[in-house]
Amino acid sequence: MEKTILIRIGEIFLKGNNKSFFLALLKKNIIESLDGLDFKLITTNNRMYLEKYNDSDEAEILSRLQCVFGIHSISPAVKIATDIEQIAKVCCELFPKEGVFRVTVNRADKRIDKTSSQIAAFIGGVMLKNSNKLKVNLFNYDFDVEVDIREKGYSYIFYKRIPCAGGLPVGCSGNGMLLLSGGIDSPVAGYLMAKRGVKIYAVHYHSFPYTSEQAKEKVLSLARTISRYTGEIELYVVPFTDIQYAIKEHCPIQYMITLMRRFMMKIAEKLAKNTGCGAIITGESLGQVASQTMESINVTNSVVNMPVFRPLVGFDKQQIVEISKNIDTYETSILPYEDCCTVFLPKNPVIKPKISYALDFESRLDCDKLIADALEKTEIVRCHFK
Amino acid sequence: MIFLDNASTTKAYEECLDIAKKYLFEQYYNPSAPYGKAIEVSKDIRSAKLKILRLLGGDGKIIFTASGTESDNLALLGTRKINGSRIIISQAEHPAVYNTAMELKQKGFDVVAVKTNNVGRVSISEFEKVMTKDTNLVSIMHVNNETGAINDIKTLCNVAKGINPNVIFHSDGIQAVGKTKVSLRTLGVDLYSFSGHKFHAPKGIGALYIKKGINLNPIIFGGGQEDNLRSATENVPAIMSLAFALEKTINNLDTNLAYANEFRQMITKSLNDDCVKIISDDNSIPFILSMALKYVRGEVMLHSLEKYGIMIGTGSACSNQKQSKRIPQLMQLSPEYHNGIIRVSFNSFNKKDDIEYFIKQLKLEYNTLIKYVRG
Repeated sequence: MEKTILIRIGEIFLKGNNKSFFLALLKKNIIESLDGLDFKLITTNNRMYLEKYNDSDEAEILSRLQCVFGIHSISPAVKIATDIEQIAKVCCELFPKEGVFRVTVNRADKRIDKTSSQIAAFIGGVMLKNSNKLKVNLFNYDFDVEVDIREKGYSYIFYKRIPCAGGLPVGCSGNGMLLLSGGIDSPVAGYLMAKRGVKIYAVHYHSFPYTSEQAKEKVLSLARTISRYTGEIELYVVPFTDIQYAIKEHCPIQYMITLMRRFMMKIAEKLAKNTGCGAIITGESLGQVASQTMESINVTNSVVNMPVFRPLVGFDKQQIVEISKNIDTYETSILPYEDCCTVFLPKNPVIKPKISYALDFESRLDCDKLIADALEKTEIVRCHFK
Repeated sequence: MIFLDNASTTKAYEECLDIAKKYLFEQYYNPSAPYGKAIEVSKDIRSAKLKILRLLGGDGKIIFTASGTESDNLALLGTRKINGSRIIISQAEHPAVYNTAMELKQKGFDVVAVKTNNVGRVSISEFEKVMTKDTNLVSIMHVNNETGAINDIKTLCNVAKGINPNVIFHSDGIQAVGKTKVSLRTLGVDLYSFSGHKFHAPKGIGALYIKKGINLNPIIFGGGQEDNLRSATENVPAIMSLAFALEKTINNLDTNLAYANEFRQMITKSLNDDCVKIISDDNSIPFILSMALKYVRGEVMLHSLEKYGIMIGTGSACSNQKQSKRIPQLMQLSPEYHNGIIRVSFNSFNKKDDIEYFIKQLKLEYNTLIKYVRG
């Protein structure tokens, strides 16, 4: 008898000829996520099995696997030689001794002469005899004892299915450059794109002395939190104050946010190209603030050629908040440190900006130099949850 | 590095390290244990308490806690009070008292915050208006942590006792001890809180003075240490360091006051104009100086000075994360100064050159930042 964790794959299961590519990537991501722990990972066509781990690490392993995209669900199981009587005995020992249950048998090994339902009835019978506090109901049950009889003479038994993050393995869809502020939305946007297999790079604009060291730490902390799901994030911290000063000095204040966001997009695109990213990711949600109206998005989008993914564009704030709470970024996001967007926030920012005006205002600035200077002073921080 | 945020905490005296070492590696015994070595440690704690009582001129006992905040909590929550009776605090109390009082208000007590002037000082006449016969507890800070304003605790205590002789008078002395002469006997208070790290002792040690005859209920339960008022094994290294640091600070008080007065004058002379408004008044301790910048945010100035290695405060560091508006509102500043409050606070390690450099860099940064104030 050996403890095993069954790993069921999510959407990869639908893939055709390239399935092995996805499986190999998922295997790599699982191994990375379990860094520092002892285990052996066995891959089959539709499942993975994690074996030879220390009992004391099980809770940690289960918790980390729940954050690996590409996994549909996991079950802590027992691997045992296929012997129906022995299996029934182990079920009695390991599983709850009271409550309503059912037994589900999956018999891949056709050499066994009993049918799946006969085996299920036998095991259920033994369990009922063993405890008078157990009852069977095939439809309304507290737990389902699952017995998976494999071809090679052994079986897996388990009764818990822990739902996992789903999605596709991070890295299968390419790299993306996430604009990461200290707010609620952008970490969620990064999480959602990672769920679709995008490896996340991130850029943060820092306005020292207007935004504090604490504000920067907050962003690092957010990146570390979502790295549980995304894997290590390379975060580019770009000093933004000089650009804000230049805009403030030479351009109308109503266009402050619009012009700032255009600079942010330009810098993000440059960083994206340098890091092999195929897209920019933002946490914009249509109509949430002045810079997220359709007109504003059009003006900021027009400075880049790369696709810009906005996974939250149709989300309500409440939906975004719910996800941020689920992925543990919410409490950090609401810490009251100012971010660069609120510095110099005009009383009445333009909500329907025009590209032609933006271009005119930008012609008053030495944009290339401002961007080059900012990039030169950019700091790179590797963020990992460990 | 120029540290001008000494009201938030101070650098510990080097001697504290030797003291801590002694009680961590040599006399590390649990003072409650019955063998000789442990009894010696318990005697050391007793001597430390006597020394503190002597230095602060008190008749009663000292209870060690883990912080000034805990001392304030023990004072407010541990006092025996009639349910629903009146509790008076001042509007300008530190959150350790203010929020604890709000907790009592939730529990049905009639909590009244007596008005203060713009530097957080309670006026005697305002206090007389709210002090009633059924007031069970008064808690008014000795020195305001934002402005350094000194409250006339002696008179306030007399007024309170004149109206209700049984009232318990607590004062939060966390910013007072080591920065002004404290005689608990003269002040007349029943309870008085202070905290070691404000006068060069380590963090994690506070104390509450309890006048003879005053009974409290504990808020932490367990083995019954500290006269059953604060269960937990005593933090001996920190207790002994606190007693040492208090003695050294009080012995140097006159010299330090002279320095602080000089620093304060340098700053008020060079900076008090339309751009920088000095808030603290002349009846404040010289160690804390509060001022407000016109249009420039205090937090931004704080970060700007950081790059020169100058550290200042923007108000109570203990409540910074919540960005409380209570204190700025009390200061009655005109709107252009509202967000510009900064606080400089000195200690015995500061030098005249540090202050000159601070003044110079503040002016320089102000002139840069004022160009980019928010539209």
